[in-house]
Amino acid sequence: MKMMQKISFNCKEATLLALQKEEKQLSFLVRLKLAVHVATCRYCKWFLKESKQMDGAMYKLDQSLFEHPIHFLSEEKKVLIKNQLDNFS
Amino acid sequence: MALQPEKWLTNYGDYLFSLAMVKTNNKETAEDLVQDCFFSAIKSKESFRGESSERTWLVSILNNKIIDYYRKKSVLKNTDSYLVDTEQAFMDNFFQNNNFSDAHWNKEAFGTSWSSKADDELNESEFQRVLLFCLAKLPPKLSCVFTSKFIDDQDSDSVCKELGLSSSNFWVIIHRAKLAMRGCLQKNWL
Repeated sequence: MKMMQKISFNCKEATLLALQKEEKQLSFLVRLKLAVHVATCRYCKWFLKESKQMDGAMYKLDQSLFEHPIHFLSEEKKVLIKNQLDNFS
Repeated sequence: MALQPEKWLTNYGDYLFSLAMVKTNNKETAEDLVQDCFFSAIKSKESFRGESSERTWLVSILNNKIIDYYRKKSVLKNTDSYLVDTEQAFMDNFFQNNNFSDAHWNKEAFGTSWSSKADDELNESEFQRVLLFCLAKLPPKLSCVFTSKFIDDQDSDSVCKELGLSSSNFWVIIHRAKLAMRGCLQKNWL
């Protein structure tokens, strides 16, 4: 058990580091310990896969909301904004 | 490339409102932000150089208004103490032996992985629906950072600068947001 702790991280550490790894430079030893953990822990492996899938879905949100808005300005607000813009022009 | 203010409301009104709603979860706030955005935009239309598209330009004005709103509401005030005070309770939802060196996933809490469902393109709109549902449930301190990073596709340094956040707090927040989001998706995506 103590051996495992020395050569890999626990799940809480591993999930945090795996997210940081995308942007931060982690040392070789940290990356190695992370890889050891992920190779032997299916929950963390799944978490990382799910994390990437969330990233992709989040990134698509902007275009999706542009093509298909999900919230709509009230007519009153639209009139207010239109008047404001018209008065300025 | 010229601006067309007479078409802004039609072309971008609901889009910007939807973005503001996702980022603030408050209808009145989001409406005011969109109104302020359009008003700012028309006042500064001469400064538009055409380096970006009209849409991108309007979104950047909106995002600046949203950041001002976060600052005004002190959403990220006392982040240090908030994170310290809530660490135990938050992490206990996901990990066993949380405070110890062998902290590991709580299997019951993890449930099953939804990743194979997410891979299926046919589920894309459903995935998005549940994603938005879960985003709305995130605490404001987590959601403002999470949406700034992942909807706007910004690097962490830019987000930290914008929100006045330290790098270490940023990563703690993103970690928590991801844990909460994947858990919510697992519970709500049947």
